[in-house]
Amino acid sequence: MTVLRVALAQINPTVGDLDGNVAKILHTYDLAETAGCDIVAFPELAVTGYPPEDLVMKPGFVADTETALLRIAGHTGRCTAVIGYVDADFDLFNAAAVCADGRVLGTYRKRLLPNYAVFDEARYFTPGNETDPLELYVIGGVKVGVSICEDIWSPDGPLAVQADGGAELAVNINASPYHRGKAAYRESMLATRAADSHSALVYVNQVGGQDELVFDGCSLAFDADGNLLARGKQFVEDLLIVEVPIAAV
Amino acid sequence: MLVSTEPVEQTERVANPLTDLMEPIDELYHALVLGTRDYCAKNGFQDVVIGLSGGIDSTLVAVVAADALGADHVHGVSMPSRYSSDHSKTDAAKLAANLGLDFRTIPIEPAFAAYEAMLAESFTGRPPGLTQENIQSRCRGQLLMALSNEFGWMVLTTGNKSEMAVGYFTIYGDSVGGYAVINARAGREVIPEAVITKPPSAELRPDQRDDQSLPPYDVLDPILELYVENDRTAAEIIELGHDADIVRRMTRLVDIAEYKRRQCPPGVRVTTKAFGRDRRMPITNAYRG
Repeated sequence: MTVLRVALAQINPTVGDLDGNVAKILHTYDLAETAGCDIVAFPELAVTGYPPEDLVMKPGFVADTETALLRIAGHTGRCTAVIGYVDADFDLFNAAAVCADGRVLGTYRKRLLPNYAVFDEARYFTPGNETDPLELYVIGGVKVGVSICEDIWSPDGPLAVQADGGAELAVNINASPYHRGKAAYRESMLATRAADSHSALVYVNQVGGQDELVFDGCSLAFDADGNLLARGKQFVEDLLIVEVPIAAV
Repeated sequence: MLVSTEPVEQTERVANPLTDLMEPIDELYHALVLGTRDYCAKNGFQDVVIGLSGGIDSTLVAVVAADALGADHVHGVSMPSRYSSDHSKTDAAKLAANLGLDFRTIPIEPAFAAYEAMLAESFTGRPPGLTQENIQSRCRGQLLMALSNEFGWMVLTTGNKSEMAVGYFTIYGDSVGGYAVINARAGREVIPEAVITKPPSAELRPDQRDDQSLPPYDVLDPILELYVENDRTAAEIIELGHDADIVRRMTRLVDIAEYKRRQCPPGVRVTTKAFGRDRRMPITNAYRG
């Protein structure tokens, strides 16, 4: 049975501090690579911090974000990094870059954009559209699907499609704000997703305060039966290194 | 897309970390601390200042601030008026001593008396009331902002969610500040350690207690939860068995306090329906439901 070593980089970025966030990401990347990790996953929009709100309406800011991502990608080696950032072509996308060996290998664009309560993602982003392939990455011989936050809250979302496509590990990156009771509820939801999709699942969450929002971290990893493998700390930065068994399907 | 065919070769396996989940009460407290700490640090503030009344709300804010920033960086100010009880003055001092906060007392009487004199001619023949209560509150806000401007300390406000809901605060008075640490916490929730035997009181009039102006929190909070968090109408809430008169008065207060809330500082969101981004009601609103 294959076992992948996955690092969940539960970091506290500062919105708008691109240089500071890049430094933090690179530092954490190095720790993960030194620890022999196959994958290191960073939170949703880790490069910009979450939520950047109307900052993304400045073309200069988005351009600076892309430059920052390329700096991170250029630094990668053997360990594959999954990093949240703002992708832009004609529209803006809440995206995750998959990077290794000094370059960006692929980009996943968030499909389900939350637009309720404290979330206004429809104000800024276009959903990853139907024709974007839900690409799987073969990392360490294991088929890996990438998704972002809200994507995983739906039972019919990208996770299900990736599972149909043979995904053995789901990497879901998040900036999920705390509210009372959320941590336990979220954990139970994720266990269900892992079991339903018959794939191992790792969930990394931002930690820290941003205006009114507090992100609680509590990153998690599950096996393909929905059993909890690891749980990170709450309300503090953490580098959660998890041995994830990949079951034969 | 093929990235690599083999996992990284490992010489030994590591144990998977499994940190226990905190109790909900501890999660809430940690959220308040982290929200406060990061708002200050990420905006370049090392120190905060809090008006300490000796009551539960300012006590809780002081405890959170001390945990967030270190007691060395928290400044407490007691600003008694001619109406403040002796025990509230000593409670504030005792709290500050227990936590190791810098603490000072600045009575507001000279300022309040000055305002009364300045307004005497305009207010001839008019009985004192809410206006005088608000003047006292704004004296305190003015003092806190002066300390803030002079020393670079961020003012933390101490209003709780129930007060925010019904507008039980003085705009430009006790709402003056940079961060509203407990504005998402209902009036009678979680109290880590506090003065709980004294009935809560704003001490703005002689012998005033909160429950003379408002229903007790255990009556008020359920109505607020239905109206604010669950989006029920007054009629629906009355249908559920709550006192009709109280429901109509309190829901009306919530509606007319919208403009005030819009001018309050941000605070830590801990529920799914905090004032702020979660709930965006129009200020100009003629719906009475």
